[in-house]
Amino acid sequence: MFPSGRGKGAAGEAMERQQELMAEFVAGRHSLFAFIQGFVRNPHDSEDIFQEVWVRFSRALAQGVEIREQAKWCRGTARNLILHYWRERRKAAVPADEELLALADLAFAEQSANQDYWRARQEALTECIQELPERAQNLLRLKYEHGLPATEVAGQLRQTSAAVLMALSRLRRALRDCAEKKLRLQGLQL
Amino acid sequence: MNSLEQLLAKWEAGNLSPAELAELKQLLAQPQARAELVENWLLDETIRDTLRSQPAEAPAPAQAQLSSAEPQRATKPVRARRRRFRWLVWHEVRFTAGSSFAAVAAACLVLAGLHSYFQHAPVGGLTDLRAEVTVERGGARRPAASTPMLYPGDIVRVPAGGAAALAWAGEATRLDLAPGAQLRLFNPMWGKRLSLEAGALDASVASQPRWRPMAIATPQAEAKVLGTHFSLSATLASTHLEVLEGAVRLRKNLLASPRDNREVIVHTGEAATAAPDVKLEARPITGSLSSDAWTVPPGTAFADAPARGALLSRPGLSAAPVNTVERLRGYLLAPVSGDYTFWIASPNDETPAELWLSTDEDPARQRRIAYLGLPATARQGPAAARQSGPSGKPGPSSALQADVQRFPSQKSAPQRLVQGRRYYIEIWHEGIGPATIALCWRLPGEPAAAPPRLVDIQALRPLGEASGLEPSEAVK
Repeated sequence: MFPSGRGKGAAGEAMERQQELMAEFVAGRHSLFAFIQGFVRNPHDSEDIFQEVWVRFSRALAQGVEIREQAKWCRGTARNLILHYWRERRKAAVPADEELLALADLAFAEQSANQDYWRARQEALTECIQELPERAQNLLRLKYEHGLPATEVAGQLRQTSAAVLMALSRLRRALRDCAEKKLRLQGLQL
Repeated sequence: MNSLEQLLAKWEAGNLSPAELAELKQLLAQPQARAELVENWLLDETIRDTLRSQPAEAPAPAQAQLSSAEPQRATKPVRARRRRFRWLVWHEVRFTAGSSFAAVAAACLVLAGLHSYFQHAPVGGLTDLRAEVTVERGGARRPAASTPMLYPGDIVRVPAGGAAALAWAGEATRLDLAPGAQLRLFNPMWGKRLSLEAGALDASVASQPRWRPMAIATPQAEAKVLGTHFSLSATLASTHLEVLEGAVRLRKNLLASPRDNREVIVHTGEAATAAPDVKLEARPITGSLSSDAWTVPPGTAFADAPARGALLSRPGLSAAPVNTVERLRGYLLAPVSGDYTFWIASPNDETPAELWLSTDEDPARQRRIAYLGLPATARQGPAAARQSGPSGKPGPSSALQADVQRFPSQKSAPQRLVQGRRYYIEIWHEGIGPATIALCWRLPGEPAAAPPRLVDIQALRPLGEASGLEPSEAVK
């Protein structure tokens, strides 16, 4: 084998590069999933598309495809899959919009330089969510984990849709404030 | 004017009008709005990811109260999955049980069909019939000659002095039934199944399928055969098996012998006897003839010796100088088919001796084929006698070749014998004290100039072992 880093050769470097890209994918998975979920709005379908992006990414690495920017490559693949997803559902209320996709892609690309901030924010948010009362967690669970629309959540909780939307809006704001507070304590700001 | 969050909420709910979509795009043209979009969606993803990674707890009492009208609808997907899983399990159980039942039913139908087919199919055929062999079928007896084919349930009865052979088409299996034999046939679905209820048989069995072995039951045991040549005899008291080739598994009947060894494998050249209080074991077949001896006055006819003489307790071994007549009798087992030539000889020229051979196992059909000396009645030729070793077992003699060529009467005419069959044989001789008598033969196919050889001891069987019963019993 190779006694030192100097003697690794092209194959060794390619393998190292693959490992780096995979590590980047894992680190940026939340960002990619958020991008997909933003357009698909169904957690189960989003999961399927996310898995498909991962499969294509792994296959590309195995085939030796040169990927310079992992996040960009994955979002591009996700965009194509999202468009395909919506084309298959033409009668759906939310049409595919390539321009909007491009804008969202741009938004995520712009924030890729602030990965540390977003990672810290995510950790802070996680803590804040865990601190929420059980009832609030259940509301969020119905909405975000099970992917139920506000009307169904309202039906299950015997509330009006407006009340549910209001409660969700308040919860999101509370979570934002909580996370900002924690980040300020750490001295982090966007 | 809508805020970005309002527009995104409408987008998510699918209520975004084209004008609002254009407004959203216009907003996203600004970097601040784009950052807000990322923040919004990452918040959604963080909520989903956090809640997914922690288990759901029981709903709070307030919520439970709220949900009492529609119990646990919040967990509807989970319950639906469980219901579907239970349905799948139940469906699988029903399918498995149904298919198993169908398979068992089909197997039963097939077995019943096969059983019925074999029940009405011929088992084998009777050949080489002699005397009035009968077949009992459905309680009615009929001559075997009129029913050459046998069916399950038939009972073949061979009378005293009769003979019959059971053969199967398409294979070399053959059972030769001795006089007095009674054989019952069973459904051959699982192989040839027979019951030797009395008498003896000689079997030459071709190779049988491993899963359909041939089995012959007797009152004491069952002999299971794959392919071999053996003889089996049965009485109510015992069953005797001799294997000439191959292997036979002899299993004792549990009811007949509950405390003994149950089973033994009998190989080529071995014999076993199944009887109450007799150890079931395979032992080498040793050839010999049964011996009886009487002290008689000199000149007594051989035939009169049993009536006129005194029976010796240890025949043939008396060293006392008294005139003795010894009778050796048993069966000769023909190793090959063809014409045999026999000689009877004694180192002592003065020993009167006679050799009798039957055309089968029946003593009634025996005839004298060679003799030596001049016995009182039918004796012809010169008398000769010399005292020697123990009688009853033809032993080697240094002067054998000279001994067998003294008189023409010592040599028999060619005797046609069939391989595997037994022939009743008797040897009479007279002398003072222990004497030696030699029985020699020339096998079929050997040149006429070939010198006679002593009969192979393995070809001789005493009366009891050959048929399991005395000739008189066999006749009964």
